[in-house]
Amino acid sequence: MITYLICKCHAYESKLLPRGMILELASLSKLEEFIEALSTTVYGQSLSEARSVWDVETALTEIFVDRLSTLLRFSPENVKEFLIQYYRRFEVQNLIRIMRMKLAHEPVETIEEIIIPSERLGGMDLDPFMRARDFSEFISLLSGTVYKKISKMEVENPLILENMLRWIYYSGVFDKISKIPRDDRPDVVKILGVELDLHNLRVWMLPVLYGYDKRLAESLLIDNPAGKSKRLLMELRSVEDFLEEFPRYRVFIEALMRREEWRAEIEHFKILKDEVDRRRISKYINFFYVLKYILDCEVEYRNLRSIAISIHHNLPVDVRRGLLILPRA
Amino acid sequence: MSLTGVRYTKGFLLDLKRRLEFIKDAHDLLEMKRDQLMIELRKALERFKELRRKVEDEAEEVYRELSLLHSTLGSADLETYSAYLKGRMEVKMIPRSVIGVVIPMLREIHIPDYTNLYPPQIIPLAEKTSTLMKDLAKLAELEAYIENLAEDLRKTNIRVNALEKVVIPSYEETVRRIQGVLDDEMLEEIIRLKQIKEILMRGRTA
Repeated sequence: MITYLICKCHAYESKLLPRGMILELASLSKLEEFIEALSTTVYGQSLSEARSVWDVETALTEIFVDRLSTLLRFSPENVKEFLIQYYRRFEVQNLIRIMRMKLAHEPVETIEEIIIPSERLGGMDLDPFMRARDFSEFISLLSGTVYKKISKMEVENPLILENMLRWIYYSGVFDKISKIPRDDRPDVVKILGVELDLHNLRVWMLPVLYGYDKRLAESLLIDNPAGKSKRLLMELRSVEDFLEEFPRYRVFIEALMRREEWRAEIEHFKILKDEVDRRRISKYINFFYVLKYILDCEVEYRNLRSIAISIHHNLPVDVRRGLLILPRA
Repeated sequence: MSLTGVRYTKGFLLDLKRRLEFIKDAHDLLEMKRDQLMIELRKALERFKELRRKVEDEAEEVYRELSLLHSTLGSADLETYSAYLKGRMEVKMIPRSVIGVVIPMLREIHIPDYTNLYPPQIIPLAEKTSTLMKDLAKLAELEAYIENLAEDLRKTNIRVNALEKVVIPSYEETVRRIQGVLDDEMLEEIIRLKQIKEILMRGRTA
């Protein structure tokens, strides 16, 4: 059964847009041209109705979620369990967005517009959260979910709550590692470790770069069983220490040092993509390839979204191309 | 323009001359004020040009950062980031007088703090926007200052011109006229006295 899923991923992979086409799309000057260029691809039908950049984003999100949810249909029970937990990252992203909007007292209609349909990825129904009267009700609703720890917390800073959601998510993913084939576990753990390293690095640089409270930054760190430990990270005091300890993340750290958060965001995905692509051949017929396909889908989604928005902002072509997550040459 | 209620007396002439001196002093003072206003206005315009260029550069940078962040994070995330901001931008204004011109001064500009509150992704944009807002407020203050200064300069100029071209010449003209009349009267008086003297002399010899 898992072989079937891997084969499906190989088949689906051929439907991903080639690098050349992504670069071509990035050089278009109008959103209409962008929609037209994608009309013969899998995006064609969904984008045919799109009139604004917001419509394009919504259509791209739909296709992305479709692609991920399809994988659940072909997954054996164990793998499905892992994938559902892995996909909870989008649920967490949604919960964070809802939480922020509740704090800003935004109406349900506005919140509905910015939500990724994570229920289709095996996530919980977010409707009650969106309809919560206020922030307190939103927090109390979490008591009946896997995120119940948050409902018992009494913290004022929402950043800590966001972090707690992420912490619960990663704990859950590490717990479900046993559901995937034994051979793939170290590689999947390694990728999760890189993700957490990058998150923790960014958080721990907050006091150095932006004068954030060290205790707050400490509470925003997430335990990383597959990377640098919190204790080790907390011993790093300067940018030089960071560069020495994480030489592979030099470009990421340098982007943060230049306060180019947008570039750091791109580097984050480039590092993950490099990490996954490095195992591409050796893991050709393993579950790891499914994870590679999921990441490729997300990268394509982000690249297309980035192109659409940068066309909307009329950014120069070279800048647009610089925003793409493409494997390093 | 001619003065009304003119009396052709020595007392009135003296009073008029005293008033003319006062008006001339006032004219000199207003001229000095006008020059000073011109200097202030020129300086303020220089500062305005500089600040405006700075604000334009900052606004461009903010828009660039916003576009890049929007492209990277997407609309939904970007929209939700601003929700954590507590408080609003507040500006307190007090009127202040500079060389007699009342100008609005920004006493304090309060920008909501975002430290320890925002996720890292959004901080550079928040920092840049915050600086832009502060400088925009300063630019507005300077603009109001220049407007008031220019208006006062215009009024002062009208006053100086009115004194120079109308009031002072009419006073001088009136003084000259009274002086002329008084001189004529005095000459008349002398001739009259001479004639009386002649009549008296003729009476004695006869």
